[in-house]
Amino acid sequence: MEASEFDEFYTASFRRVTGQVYAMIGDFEEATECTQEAFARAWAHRRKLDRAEYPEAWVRTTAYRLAVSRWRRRKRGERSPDRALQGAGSVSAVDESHVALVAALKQLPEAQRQALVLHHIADLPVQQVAAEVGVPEGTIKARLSRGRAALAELLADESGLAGGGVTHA
Amino acid sequence: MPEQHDPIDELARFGAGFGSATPGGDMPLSAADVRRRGDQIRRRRTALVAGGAALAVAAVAVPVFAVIGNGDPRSDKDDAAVEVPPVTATNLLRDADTEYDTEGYSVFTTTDTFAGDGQAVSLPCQRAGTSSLGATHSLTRVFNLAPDPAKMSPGDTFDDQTDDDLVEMVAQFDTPDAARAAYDQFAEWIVDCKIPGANTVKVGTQGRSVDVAEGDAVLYGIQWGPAPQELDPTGDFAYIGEIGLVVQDDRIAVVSVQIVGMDYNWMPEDGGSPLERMLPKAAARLALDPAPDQPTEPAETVTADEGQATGSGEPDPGASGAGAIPDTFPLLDGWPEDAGDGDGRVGPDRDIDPLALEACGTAVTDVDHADRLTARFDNAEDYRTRQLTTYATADEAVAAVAAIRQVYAACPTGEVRDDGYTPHWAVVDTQIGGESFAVLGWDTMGDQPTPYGDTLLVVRLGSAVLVVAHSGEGNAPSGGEDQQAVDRIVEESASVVAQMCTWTAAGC
Repeated sequence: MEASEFDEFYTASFRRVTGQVYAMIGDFEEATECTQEAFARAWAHRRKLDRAEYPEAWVRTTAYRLAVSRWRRRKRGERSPDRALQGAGSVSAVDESHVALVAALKQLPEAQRQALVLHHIADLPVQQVAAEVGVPEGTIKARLSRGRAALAELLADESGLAGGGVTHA
Repeated sequence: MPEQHDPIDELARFGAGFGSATPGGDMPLSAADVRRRGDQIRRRRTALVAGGAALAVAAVAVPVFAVIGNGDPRSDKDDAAVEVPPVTATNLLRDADTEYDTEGYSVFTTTDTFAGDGQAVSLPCQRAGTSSLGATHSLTRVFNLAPDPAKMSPGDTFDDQTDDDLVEMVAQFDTPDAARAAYDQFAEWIVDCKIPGANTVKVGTQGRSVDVAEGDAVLYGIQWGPAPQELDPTGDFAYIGEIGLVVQDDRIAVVSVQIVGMDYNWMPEDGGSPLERMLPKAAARLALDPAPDQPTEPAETVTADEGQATGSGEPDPGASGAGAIPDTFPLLDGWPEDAGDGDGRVGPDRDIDPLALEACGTAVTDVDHADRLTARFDNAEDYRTRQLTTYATADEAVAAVAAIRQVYAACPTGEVRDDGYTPHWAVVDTQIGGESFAVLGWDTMGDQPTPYGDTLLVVRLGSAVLVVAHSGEGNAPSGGEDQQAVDRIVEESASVVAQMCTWTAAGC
């Protein structure tokens, strides 16, 4: 992959992958940083990436694993305590309309959340979700079914409590 | 009545929102900056095998004491004997061996490994260093218990470091009687445990036997207090844990787990306490030969390469009788001439940094040699190094090769690196030169395979040793059985190895 191709790939995919990772881990800033690091690793290993059938899936998987990795834990520990006061830099606040959905997703078991995000947000077919997660297709279907039911219930509760529900653009 | 939401619509809208240009804010780094960061990662990974910087790791002392050959020109390594410390890190539990809660929510991670008695005793109840009990060698490893971030839910907060530890000490004695006496002494110290600063110490004086494959093992429960006030302002906590002892022939292992808390209860149906589960593993590792591929006794043999009879330690300098490598030695043979995106061919040169070979924090000792010539080929994600080293005798060359093999063979899985990847190594025999093997190195992320790794080929012919290192994306083996990765390097190196006949007894 040449530099210009990588730049196009990064520009086209960065926000999309960040959104997917955000939905999976529930922390937008973490998702942004991990996605950025995953793209850096993608460039570092670009020859392998050239042979990957779905480069964006490689980056997404790497970003997600980074988010739950020991490396990430250590990086969080290195942050200065007053970091919250330093401003968000170039990372803009996430759209308010997404907050309730992400909060509901966070309450789901990780496996259901991952299946829902990959199938309905990343728009992957069940077969590809199964390949990415490494479980049989039937397992993904079951997780999607249970996850959808649980999410519907959580969103209904949320809208009842909020007295009007989530608004969407 | 709450408003009904179709979760699929919500998810689809979310996905569509992040697919557009505006949500999610600007990208924190430009594409060029991300590439620069990627280049830094690549250089760091390359340095794992091609770097020459001094490593802040313990080096294995490998005195040259070797005997070579059995008449088979392809298998003289089987008769190589190298004197190594009697207990090494091989005999200690690794992170992967440790256990705490059966669900794995908390994991032990190595924080320190050191030889000898150290500055203070490391185990509860211990009153003197093991050397005072007659140990000739000892090694201690300290682990810290902390939550496994992979098992945490997003948003959970937890500490990287806790006051909960696992400590293991292994010690070698001159005789089985001396080891048994040390084992008994530790048991006495535990039963009559005194811990500085403790108001109360309670020990289950009736030790519980633990079944181990070889030797005897016993386990004691222990509790003492008070716990530090900053951890326990209400005075409800104590140090709680257990200490296990293993004796096996002329070695012992002492393992302790201690936590700060209110209870330490483990159900038999879950496999029992952490030490009940770990002590058999500690016993199994204690029984390992630190150099499993090497017999411990030398034998009168013949040199392998040409079937010429020699005795132990006899020099085998080859026809020229000299270790000097000609400047014109064809070390670049078989490599591409096109530089591609990198520096292309570099050398041969005596000033190129030597290969830094290490695994599990143990570096291969670079023993004295007669001469060394190194060449490199650098292209984007394609880094190759050939390092030819000659020794005064074939015995020394055998020892050098054995030292490399030992470091990697003793470390099938390394510690998780700062970048989150776990390195693995496998040593496989190859059929080139008088003695040779390959080291396949590959990384995993958690339990998932990754495309990263490095491959080494080590070949000895007479008193010369060639080490070939390939790294970069195109050269990583796929797991520990990637014969293709090995074959590729062997084939490419064949013409160079053939020219090493200069350093055999018969010459070329």
